[in-house]
Amino acid sequence: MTATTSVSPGTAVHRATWFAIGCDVSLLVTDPAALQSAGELLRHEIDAVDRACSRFRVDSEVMQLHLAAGRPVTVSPLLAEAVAAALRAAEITEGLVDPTVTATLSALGYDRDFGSVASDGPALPRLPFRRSKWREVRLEPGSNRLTVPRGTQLDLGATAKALLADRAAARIAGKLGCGVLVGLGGDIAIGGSPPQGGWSIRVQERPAPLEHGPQGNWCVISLTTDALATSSVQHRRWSRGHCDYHHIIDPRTGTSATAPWRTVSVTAASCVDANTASTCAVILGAEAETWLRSRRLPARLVSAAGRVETVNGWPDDAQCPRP
Amino acid sequence: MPLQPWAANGSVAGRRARRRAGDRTVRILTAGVGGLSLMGTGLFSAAAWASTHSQAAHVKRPVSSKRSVPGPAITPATSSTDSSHAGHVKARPTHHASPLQAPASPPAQPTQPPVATSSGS
Repeated sequence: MTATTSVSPGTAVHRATWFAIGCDVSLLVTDPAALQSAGELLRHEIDAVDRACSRFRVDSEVMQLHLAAGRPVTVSPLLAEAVAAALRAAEITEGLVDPTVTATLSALGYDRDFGSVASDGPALPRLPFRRSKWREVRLEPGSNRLTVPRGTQLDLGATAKALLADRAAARIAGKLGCGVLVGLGGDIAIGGSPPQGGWSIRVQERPAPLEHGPQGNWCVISLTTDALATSSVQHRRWSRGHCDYHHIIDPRTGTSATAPWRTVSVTAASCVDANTASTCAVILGAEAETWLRSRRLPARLVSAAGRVETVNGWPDDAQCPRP
Repeated sequence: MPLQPWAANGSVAGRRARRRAGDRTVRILTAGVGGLSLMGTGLFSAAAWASTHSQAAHVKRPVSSKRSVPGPAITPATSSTDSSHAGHVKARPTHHASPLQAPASPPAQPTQPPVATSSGS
């Protein structure tokens, strides 16, 4: 973990960064005395969510569900919360953000932590279409009894990471009483009172440390509340034969989404909602703008050609300060 | 009831559907669910699709009958390059989950240099 303090005119933000669960972790607080305790709380949340939800750990709770072979299992409250978030995402996106596309992802080559996925390889055989199974996953409210159809594996990756950001930001702000920003790759959740002028955030297409300058198309925005998520097909890409793949699966086609938008950023009341919307928008393609407008979600969409569209009050890029 | 877009093509199913346009659309959509299950078995093909819909046009079923389980409506691939999966799942809205919540306020223009990044993931 590296801890730095960046001082801006009129405010001081205290920051720690490290790498975990396959992404850059950023923790920012408004109280320097709270940074260490906040770091411990965030690490605890990361570890708990990883042990419950990771599909890349054989000892994770979600991987143990296979042993149940379709029988109901009582799961931990954390896994139940993560599954509930994933099923809600599937339901309100009409199946586009689907936690049961794991077998498809694995068949396409993303079957381990992304850092270990070969960037290139031989062409894949023609893959059978796999019917969505999320409607067959049953979570009994109150009892945490979960039934996953035999042969179905859950991929809670996207929504679980966003849920982790929401939980950690709320817990840190509640326990330590300071303003906090938790960033996990593209997912950002905010808690407590923000610094003067809000949290200034650079939205970019590919991961890069703040000090290294932006990657791809970018902008800077300020948030005082709520959450932000960015989904992009510019990152987590690999090739098999002459075909390129990425991690956002369109369950309608059973392969990586081929959408006109390469990157979508959304702000919402929670990081889970922002992540659900940004992922759905990438998959939706041409209908994404209308879909986002109707839900009053501020968003920025970058087309495959680099054209930028903003909706619902997202600041115009032309007014974004440029170095 | 408007004609489904796919029914306007030149297939046998499309011609029958046009002749029967209106209340028969419900039956065709129901048959579409059958098409989806075929896709799931890997046996789905364009021929099976056409066959399914052709048969569907002959099924005598009360128009008022309702599916007991909400399911996806299906429209066929829009181009021949759209892979063998052909179908395009367009699930129906459901009313159980709470909707996505918009933020209290939209993001603003920054007055400070950035202190964090949100990178595509």
